[in-house]
Amino acid sequence: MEYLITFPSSHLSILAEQLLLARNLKPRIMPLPPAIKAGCGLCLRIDQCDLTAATTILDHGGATPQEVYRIQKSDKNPIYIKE
Amino acid sequence: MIYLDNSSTTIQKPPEVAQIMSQSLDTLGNPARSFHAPALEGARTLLQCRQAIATLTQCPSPMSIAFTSGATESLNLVISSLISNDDHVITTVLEHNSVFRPLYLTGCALSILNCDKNGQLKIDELPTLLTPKTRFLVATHGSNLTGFIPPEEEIYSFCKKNNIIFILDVSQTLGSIPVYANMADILCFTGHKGLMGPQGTGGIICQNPLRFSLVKTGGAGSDTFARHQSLTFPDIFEVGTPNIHGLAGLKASVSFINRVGINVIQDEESDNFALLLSKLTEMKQVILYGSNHPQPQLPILAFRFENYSSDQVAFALWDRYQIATRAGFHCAPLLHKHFQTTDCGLVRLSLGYYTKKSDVIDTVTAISELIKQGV
Repeated sequence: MEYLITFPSSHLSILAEQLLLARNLKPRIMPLPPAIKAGCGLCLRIDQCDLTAATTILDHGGATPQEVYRIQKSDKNPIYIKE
Repeated sequence: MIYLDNSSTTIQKPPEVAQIMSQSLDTLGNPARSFHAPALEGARTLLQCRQAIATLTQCPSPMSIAFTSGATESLNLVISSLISNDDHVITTVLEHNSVFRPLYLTGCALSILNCDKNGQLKIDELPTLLTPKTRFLVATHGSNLTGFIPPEEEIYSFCKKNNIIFILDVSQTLGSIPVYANMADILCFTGHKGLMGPQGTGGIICQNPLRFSLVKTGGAGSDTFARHQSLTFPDIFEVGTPNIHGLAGLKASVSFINRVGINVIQDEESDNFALLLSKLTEMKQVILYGSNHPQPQLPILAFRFENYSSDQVAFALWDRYQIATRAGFHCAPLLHKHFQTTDCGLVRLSLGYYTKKSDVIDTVTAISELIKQGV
């Protein structure tokens, strides 16, 4: 399962990516899905197993997430469920 | 050519600045607008530039740095965003027009701290300028005409004591001497002088959130359906496509400074300046302005010859010796009025990291010859 992490600004999304890569996590920067209103134009996609570690790293690194969504696959567009 | 106009802009830069800018033209996309590799590489470059400046200024968060086109835009944005015609503001006689003119535009009440005959600010007079409506103090961290460095620590302490927001113009100091993010509430900087980056770059450093009002608006790559963009710093001042190729160059130049060390740069410039000052002080025909005070001092020196206007001297230095200086009034109207040099102007010599000792010796020789032969 994967999660989407949103940020209040795209600068923070990039900082978040840098912080997570430095700790050997593997985030992917994604365009923010139109279904999600909260956040800037970029968000991070991350594996469930890394989510707890990622949010801790981001909190300490000054890139606190705005919101976290669980990605639920469906026939067409994924469904994003706010955590 | 001997280039002694570094206070206007540095043209001798670390070689990697041009290399990286050239490469970036083909590789960097629009930062924070898309998620493909060129766009993300642009956004990462932007972050790395913020981090390089944060390192240089010991700023805890790179997000306390907003990019602009230069110090003039930074000062305009900050002043117009914070100051209204209902405020009283203190500034100093040393300022550049990039401080005076935005302040005049706000319609605020203004008090100007004067200086003595040597161009040193009369800091003791600061309390006499206070009014119940004093909310801001805007000051330079180093005179662009005389190189005088005001005691910013004393000024900031006065501001804190009186609940005044301190806006510091570090155009002439950042990259030449140690400058720290906590020296003032807001620092306005340019990228193309001491930082040795490209023109068209600069920024604002603000560690503690202030109530900035929106003075610039447009596309920001997010919140498309909102009528207004984000009010948070740095986004509030970063609207539209940034000068990413310029900022790639700035990242390279600031990284160079971080590698070399700001103290090494300061020492190098100070040694050459001390030599220049001592030699010109020996020449009775050279009238120096503002250099007759104790250190610290930026490597900037203003002078004139008796009976010659500054343009004549600067032209002769360029025409006969290929020495680049700056004549005239240096956008510092009140200091020239104070020195009573509004008729003749002054010739300014400003040294940089790439100024060599031989440049100083050759300049001294040239000035000496002009004195003997006439301009």
